[in-house]
Amino acid sequence: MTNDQTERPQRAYVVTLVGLTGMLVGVVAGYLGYFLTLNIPVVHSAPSSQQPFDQMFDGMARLRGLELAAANCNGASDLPRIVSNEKRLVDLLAANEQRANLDPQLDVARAIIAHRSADLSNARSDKVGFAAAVEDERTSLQAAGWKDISPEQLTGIVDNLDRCSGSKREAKDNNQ
Amino acid sequence: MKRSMRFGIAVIVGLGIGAVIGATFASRTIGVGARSMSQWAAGAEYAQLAELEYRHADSERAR
Repeated sequence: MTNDQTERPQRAYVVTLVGLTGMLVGVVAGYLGYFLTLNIPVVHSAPSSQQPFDQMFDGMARLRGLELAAANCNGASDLPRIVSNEKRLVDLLAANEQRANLDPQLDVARAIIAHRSADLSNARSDKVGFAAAVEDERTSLQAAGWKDISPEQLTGIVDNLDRCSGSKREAKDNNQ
Repeated sequence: MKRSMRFGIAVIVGLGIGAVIGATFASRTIGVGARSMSQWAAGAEYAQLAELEYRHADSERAR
């Protein structure tokens, strides 16, 4: 057997090994590439190229994501950015509502956001902001046709949604 | 064919096949998971707001 004949299978083996290593790197790159370009509606804003129904659907998912992020029992995580993102999102959903042929209760969502906004203003001792947010809350509940538009009722509802045992405002009052 | 060229082709072909396999696997795992999670989140939010309206609005609006 010549030297060249013994080297050939060895070379083929090395080329296969290099190809398999490349494939392994490709699998990881493909997986990561897909993950990084994935548009998850709960986290990302819906692209404007979507159909109105899909936009509304993804917007509702994003609103859920923001609500979960805003939910807390001591008011400490009611981040201003989350609340302002929620306000902007609800305005977008309201603009899209008719085209999507859906009727989500956006006035209720607005009231909940205003309630969170009032909590935020209260934590900052911003009396003007607090009064404006409470007024927004009342207006939204009125628009939704609620029988009881008192902030106390909504406090109980939001605490319940956030899975809080006591009222946020009570907890804050106790802290102060 | 030169040795380096052979290795180059092996790497490129391997990377290409691997990328397709990786992306397909990701779409069947995290892609499906992300879609399911979004559907759950959208449905849950819609239902929650509707339930609140149903419970607390006047009879005309709660329909």
